[in-house]
Amino acid sequence: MAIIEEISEFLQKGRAKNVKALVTQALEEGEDPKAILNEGLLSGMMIIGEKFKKDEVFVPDVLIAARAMNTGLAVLEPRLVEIGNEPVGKAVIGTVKGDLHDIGKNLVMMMLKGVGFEIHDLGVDVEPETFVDKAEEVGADIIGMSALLSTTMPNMGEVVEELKNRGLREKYIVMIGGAPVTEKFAREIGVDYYTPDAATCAEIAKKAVEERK
Amino acid sequence: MRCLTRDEVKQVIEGRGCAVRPPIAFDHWIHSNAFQGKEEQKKKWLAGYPSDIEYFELNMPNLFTAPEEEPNYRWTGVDMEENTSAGLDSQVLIDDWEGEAAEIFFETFPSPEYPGLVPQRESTDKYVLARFWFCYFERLWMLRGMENALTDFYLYPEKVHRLFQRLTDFYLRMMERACEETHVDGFFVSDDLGTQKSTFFSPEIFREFFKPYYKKLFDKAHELGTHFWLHTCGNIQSFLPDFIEIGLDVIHPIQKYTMDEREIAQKYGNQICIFAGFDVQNTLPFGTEEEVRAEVRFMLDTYWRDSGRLIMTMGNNSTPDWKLENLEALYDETIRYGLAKSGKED
Repeated sequence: MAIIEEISEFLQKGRAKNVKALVTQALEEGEDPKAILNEGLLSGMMIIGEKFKKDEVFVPDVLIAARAMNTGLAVLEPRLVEIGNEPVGKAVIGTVKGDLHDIGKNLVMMMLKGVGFEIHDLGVDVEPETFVDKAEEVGADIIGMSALLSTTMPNMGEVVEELKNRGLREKYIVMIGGAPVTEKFAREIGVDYYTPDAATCAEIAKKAVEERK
Repeated sequence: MRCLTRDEVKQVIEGRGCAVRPPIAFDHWIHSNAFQGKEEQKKKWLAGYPSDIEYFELNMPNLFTAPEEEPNYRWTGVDMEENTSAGLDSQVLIDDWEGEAAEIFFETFPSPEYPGLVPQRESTDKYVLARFWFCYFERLWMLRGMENALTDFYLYPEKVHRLFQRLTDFYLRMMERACEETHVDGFFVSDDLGTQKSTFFSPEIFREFFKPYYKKLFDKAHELGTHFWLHTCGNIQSFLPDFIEIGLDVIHPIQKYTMDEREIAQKYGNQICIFAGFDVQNTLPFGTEEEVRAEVRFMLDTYWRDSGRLIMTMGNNSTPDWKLENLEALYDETIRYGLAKSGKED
């Protein structure tokens, strides 16, 4: 089996130590760092993401795969920086004002990282201005918002208003998700995408960013 | 309207026949936040409606603080500050299973002999639930943080078993004491195992880490002449057959939008009592009175059994956006349509 394929296989099983060793070995053997990233690490995460979407694997499986990916990335990153490899896009993510629920948001971050995004986590109970300030600061492509409560869900609309007030609405792809959130609600508040789960979110986010570029 | 008796509720739970209407326990989840924070107003309003099941809380240890006279009666073994600005699941009390905090945790594990564990209560003719929260998975992630907890099944399986065994020993003794010291008809515990789409982990993980310990709790409940009720949010359909196999009596809430209620009722409605949770995420805050009534009729048509096995309640705790007229419609339609479903004269 080619070493890059092996990296993907071990990543899918969450075997962090093996992934680290294989990435190190692949670099020593002169493999292209971009190929190790795209065809080894990210491709392995994509397969896990697909399986998660189909309920063939579960959150723990995604987590240990993401952990393995991060271990591999830590080895790979200095080389990627050297050759000037750019992330797929940048995303600013948080749970909206008044809401402390972050399990779904964290899962979305892992999936986005898994398809090659640079992630900026704003945490929970995030003010509308903070979403916009951070997006401006890091040059984000995507603003992602999460809410679990019917009472905090309307605060997603406040972020859209904040963007409009600053004349920035069209600059960003705005995505939302969370248990009470619906497609209808997304249309009402004027965001670009609602996705029902983390894997779909990553898939749509990548496509949306690529379409814009 | 009179409330149902203990025997009527037991009969419904055990599938020995429906009562004159389904037992109602909406009040378990209605807090003062649905009444602009006015507790007295809430109590006055609720007094106008039936409440068929009483409950009380067992005084489980807190996460961070212990009573003065029992300094080990808390889950952290060491002094820690609670981080109130983050979700409970992102606080890590035991950062490393192989570190000192873990050792101290097991060494100072709270004792179920704590005198204040079982509160004293007045006697009643109603069915009585003894409640506690955060059974196994929820306790694991409160100690370890969500991400650690979920990977522990793969990375530290023996530690998860050690924790769950210690928790089981605590719970078994707690259940015995509750029955010795007051009247209990059923035990109710929470353990959210589902997400909106699926379960948090695979059925294999459930069977290895959860099923054996849950079985011990269910067996103990039955040995004590009581029922076991489980609250578990999200889509838990793939775990239901296992729960039924090991003797779970009552399941809550069959969360709206996560599972097909008709399929659940058809496959499992004769084997387990459904503590059916009314939709709190959409219909109560955003729906009309007529939509509330239609949803009640849908639930009763779906879950009703002449043998019983249905109790009506909320899907979860109240939020300040619940409309009072919707709550009135909820009670009214449940009573009206519930009486019609049973066809019995009171």
